[in-house]
Amino acid sequence: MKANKQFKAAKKIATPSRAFKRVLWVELRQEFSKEYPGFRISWRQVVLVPLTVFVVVMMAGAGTYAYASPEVTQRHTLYPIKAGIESIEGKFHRNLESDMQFHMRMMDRRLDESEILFERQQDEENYLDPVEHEMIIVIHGLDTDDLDPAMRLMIIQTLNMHQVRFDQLAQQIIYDGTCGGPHEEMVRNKIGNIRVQITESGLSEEEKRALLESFLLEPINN
Amino acid sequence: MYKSDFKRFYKKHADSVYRFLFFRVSMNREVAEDLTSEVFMKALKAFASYDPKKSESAWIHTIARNHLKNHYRDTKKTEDIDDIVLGYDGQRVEDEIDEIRELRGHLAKLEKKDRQLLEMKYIQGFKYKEIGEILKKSTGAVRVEAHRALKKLRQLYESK
Repeated sequence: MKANKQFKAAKKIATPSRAFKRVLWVELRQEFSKEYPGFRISWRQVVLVPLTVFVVVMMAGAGTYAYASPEVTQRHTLYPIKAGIESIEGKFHRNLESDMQFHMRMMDRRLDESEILFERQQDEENYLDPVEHEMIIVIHGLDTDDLDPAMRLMIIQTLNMHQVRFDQLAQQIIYDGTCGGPHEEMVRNKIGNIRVQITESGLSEEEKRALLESFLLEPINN
Repeated sequence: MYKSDFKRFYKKHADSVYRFLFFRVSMNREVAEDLTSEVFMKALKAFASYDPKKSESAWIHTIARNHLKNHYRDTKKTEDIDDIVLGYDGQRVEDEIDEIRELRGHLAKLEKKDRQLLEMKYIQGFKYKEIGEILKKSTGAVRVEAHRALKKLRQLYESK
């Protein structure tokens, strides 16, 4: 132990002062410029800096595009970026109202994607799943008395509009009759499931009726 | 050969070069500073031809040793660089020296190779890998030898 302490002391005594090191570096820097006048810019500056800027700009651009565009749908290369950004965004909603608004927005985005997938005749059976998932989250979110009445009304009206879009898309899928994509039984089952969620929720009878009325398509068992 | 590379090199090795020289010029700061400056000026001029595959520590250490030998020759000193144990010419403040007087005494009793290892490790601050590169030994061998040397030094403290 004593040896260690004395080594430390020796090391301390033999430490050059900061001022000396600073002055010496200034001298070395000047000498360097005289000795190697051609080498002012390093390869890092020439290659790495523009490359880094390019990568950052591309990534930021790709991220913005992925997040903003409904064209970025499931199976798209940028879809994981979109899902990642949304997942981070979802973590910032601390109260019920902002969380509900977030899921309403996500429902809208999933519907946009589903409509595009339908237009493309995408051979993807489950593209209605995310819409159904968001709708059920919102319906369960309404099953509380903590929401401000005005906010509650706004959510029900918006949910109603989204349900109409969902219903229209479901009808198009069924009557279009194209190969691939969700088939009739699956689509009707989804509508049926959402209906059940509404019926079994704690919403008032008036709210339930308003929501159920927006579905024209009957479930498969009716 | 770029300025940023040399700056990194200088920052990494300035302390160890200075410490190596400091105890071999009787702890005279002015002389140690002059020699350190000259060593790095030499390194700067030769830096373009330095092979990055070789050890930086070994390279700058060789320059410092050769430069110190030249300094000894010019000042007509006849001592062996490796025989000097925390060299001191009596000009420094006694309090500072008191702290390391005992260490100096014990180090002087050790074999040259043990003393050199301990100085490189615990005073100059080299890593085992760097010491191995300078002494052309494996890192494992250096680690074992340094451990044994430290054990010998501790025994000297205990036997006092």
